[in-house]
Amino acid sequence: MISYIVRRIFQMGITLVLISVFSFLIVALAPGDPFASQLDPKAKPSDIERQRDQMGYDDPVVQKYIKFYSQFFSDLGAVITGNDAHEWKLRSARTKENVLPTMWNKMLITLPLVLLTTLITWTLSFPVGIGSALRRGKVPDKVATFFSYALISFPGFWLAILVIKFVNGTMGIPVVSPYTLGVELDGPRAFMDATWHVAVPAIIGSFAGVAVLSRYVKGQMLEVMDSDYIRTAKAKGLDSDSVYYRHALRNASLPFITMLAGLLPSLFGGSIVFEAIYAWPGLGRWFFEAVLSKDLFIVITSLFVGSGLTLIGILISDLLYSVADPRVKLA
Amino acid sequence: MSNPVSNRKPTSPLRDAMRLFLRNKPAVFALVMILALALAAGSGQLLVGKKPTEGQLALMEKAAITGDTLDLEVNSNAVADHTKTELKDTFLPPFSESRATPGKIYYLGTDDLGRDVLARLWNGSSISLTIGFLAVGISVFLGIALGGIAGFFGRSRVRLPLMAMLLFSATAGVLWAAELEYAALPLLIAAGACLLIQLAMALIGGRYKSAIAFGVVVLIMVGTQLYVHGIESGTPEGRTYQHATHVADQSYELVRAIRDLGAEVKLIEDSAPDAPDEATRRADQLAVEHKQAELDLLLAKHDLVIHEAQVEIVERSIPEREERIAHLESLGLDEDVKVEQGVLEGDTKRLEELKTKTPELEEALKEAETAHEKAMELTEDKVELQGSNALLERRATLRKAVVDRFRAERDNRFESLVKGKLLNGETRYGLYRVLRHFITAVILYLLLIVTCLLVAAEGQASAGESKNPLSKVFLPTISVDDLVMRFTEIMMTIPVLFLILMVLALFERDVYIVMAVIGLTSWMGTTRFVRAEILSLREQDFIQAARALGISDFRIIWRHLVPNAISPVLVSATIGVAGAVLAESTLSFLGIGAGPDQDTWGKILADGRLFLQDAAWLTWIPGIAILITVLSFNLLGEGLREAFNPKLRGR
Repeated sequence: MISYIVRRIFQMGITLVLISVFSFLIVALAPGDPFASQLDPKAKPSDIERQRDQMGYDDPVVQKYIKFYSQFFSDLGAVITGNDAHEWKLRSARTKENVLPTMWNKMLITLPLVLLTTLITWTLSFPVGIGSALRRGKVPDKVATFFSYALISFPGFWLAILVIKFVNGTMGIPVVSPYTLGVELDGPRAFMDATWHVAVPAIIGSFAGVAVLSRYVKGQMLEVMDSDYIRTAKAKGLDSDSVYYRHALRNASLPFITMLAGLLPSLFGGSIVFEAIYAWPGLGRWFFEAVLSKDLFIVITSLFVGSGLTLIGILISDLLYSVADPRVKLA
Repeated sequence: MSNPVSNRKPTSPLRDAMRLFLRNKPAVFALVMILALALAAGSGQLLVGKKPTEGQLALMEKAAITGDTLDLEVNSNAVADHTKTELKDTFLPPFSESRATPGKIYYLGTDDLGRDVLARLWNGSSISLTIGFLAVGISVFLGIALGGIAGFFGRSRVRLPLMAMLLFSATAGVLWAAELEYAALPLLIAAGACLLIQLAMALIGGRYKSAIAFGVVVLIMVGTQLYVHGIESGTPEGRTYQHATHVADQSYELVRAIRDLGAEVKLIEDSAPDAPDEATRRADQLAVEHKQAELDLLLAKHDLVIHEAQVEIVERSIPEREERIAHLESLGLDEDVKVEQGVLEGDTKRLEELKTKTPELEEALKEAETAHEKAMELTEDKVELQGSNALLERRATLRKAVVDRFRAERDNRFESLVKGKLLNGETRYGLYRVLRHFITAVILYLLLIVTCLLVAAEGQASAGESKNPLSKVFLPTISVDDLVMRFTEIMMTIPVLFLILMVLALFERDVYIVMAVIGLTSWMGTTRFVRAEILSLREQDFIQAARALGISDFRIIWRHLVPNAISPVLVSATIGVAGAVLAESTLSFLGIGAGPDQDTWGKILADGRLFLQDAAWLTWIPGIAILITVLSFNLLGEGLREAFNPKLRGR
């Protein structure tokens, strides 16, 4: 087990190095100049040149790569250990903000939205999927199948703006941005306000997830229910509840541990589309704007952290899988 | 007494699948919808939009070269024109009569500029569907090729020379990108040598399959390059593009020179306070002045290059024009001939104007050259230590000059390309652009595939190799399966949307690039399940039997593996088209997909989003169009899945 983990971490290291080189090259070679869109109109040309020198923007790519990653890891160490006295080194070329602390703050903004979306997706898809598997071919199954097709095919961004129009325009409840801007609210009102603002995008964002995941659950459940040990359990005279929930569901939910791997990076990335439509100043939007303004350091940092989290998620899900399913041996 | 079983007609699996499919009403309906959409997409190109005449073509070509604005009223017979704006007809709801031309009915209304939504949608259908199909085509091709190789040949090991070639070329690519060309070049040569060794050994050993595979790939690569080159030098917009690429290269050189200058200035700033003596400081100063003179020289050369390219464009178009006039005269089209002759005169005049400018520029170049020489000969007494601020100012001005010039050239190029597009048809042009931009990526992928093919074909026949004294060189390293699957895993680890955004930020807005990016980042799933499918198939008895009979690998693949593995690929490709259409519309909605003159459905929806309250049909109509398309492909995919695999019914 230990040797397996060590070997996996070593492999992950190699993958991360490759990804870091790859992403750095793509971004560093992109045309465009973040200094061209200066936020400070009074900056003199010579000042901008000096900033370029300080950030090493014109250094050879190799030098830039080494400098970037040494700064990144020193900042990352400070974020992990919670060292407030740390002098932040990695800074955005355009807005001059410290990259990693800003990333942390943006993540805290995105987190409620993503958590709620994930929660809705997972809590809805299992009952829907199991229900339509148990009532195969009957009305509830047909209704669920119809809705899952409709929701998979619905362009999410269109649904989002239609819902904004309905909730905001017809019902008169503001839902764009994390909270109502320019209004001072207290106690329960502020709570309700924030709830509306997070619930609407989360519900819309979870639709596609529910549609996909419930179909997976249904497929898994049907496959398991066709297998011999379920027939044996039924023949033994077990009541249907313990057949379905103790024997079938347990085995049917094994593959979903693999899906947990995708959860970690999605917590980090959020949804660029929904954040753009609902004016949610989170990570996805931050990254999107950085890409558009060619803000090199933000883009590479996001890509690297996202890939790292994906790798960690895969490792954790593999370990969990071996715990949940004794047949799987890690070697 | 006859046996009842033998009386029954033998049924083929295909006929069974067909019967099952036809019983599935939603899937049949989806298939009909898709055929209707395909018909609409095909007719959209023919019926919608403009069809310029020969003379108008000539005028447009001239405008493409000179950059004049052009206001032409072309082909009033077109059924609908998606670019035509009519300010009297803004925001008309569906089924309303036009205010500008009574009697004309807008079936799907008009938008904020008075464009016919039906025409935009119609025109967009061809783009959106092409994108979906081509993106899935790329991803399925890569998925099947890599997954098939990993599954079927996965156990053979990559031999040392090939492994070395892969490592060398990958490192060389990285070094090249990192501007270390001098280090990359020997590695590239070494990689080529490794490939040649491998190829030679394959030929000596009588394994012609790998040599043939290699030859096919080389032919494809050379063919694409020739095709691109043909378009580039054969059409006006291609030549403009060539010119612009050249300018971009030059500008890159300039930017690098400026960067070097920055490094020198920094060096002086760092060493100035503690330079050991006056002489050292002066030497530093001299170095900087030398650099500045070098830059001026580069700028002067740059001017001359741009100018010469312009002269060449005009010069080349004159004989072409004369040919066309002769052609038109032979057809007896007097009016067109007149137009052409007018253009010809204009071109000749422009050529003269350009040629009078040449000496001026040459003079400037000479001046820069002398200044450069002088800077090299600068004596010590001329040196005077300047403040570093002055140097920084100078650097900033130079940088600005280069950037401005580059932007102007790029804008110029873009405008002439947009106009040039009318000349040669969208499809050919779009294909050309994809080839141009993605040639490197495609070459890399092909290289990987061919390497695996070579290795695989070679691995099968390695038994007799041990007698060969050279066999020590061919040490087995990691297996093909490992190589392909590790690469797939790396691609799966990078968040795809991030990757797409990053790549799109590099290029101009263009749906064909979106298509290629979606295709190149979505093949990993197909690879994995094709591999799994083939791994399970190759252990089954009928494959073993075929192998025992001595049937060749390629025949086994073609006759036994492909028919058995094709159905899941077909299903996932159908569902993939739905995903690609949705992804394209999402990206266009975010404003990073379609180009300024490409009306995809996502873009029409994004345009209409601003008028959600007043003109709801502007979002509902494209939204429903996307919904129907995606739903049809999903239903068809599910229908196919059930038809091919009846066990799955009801799942």
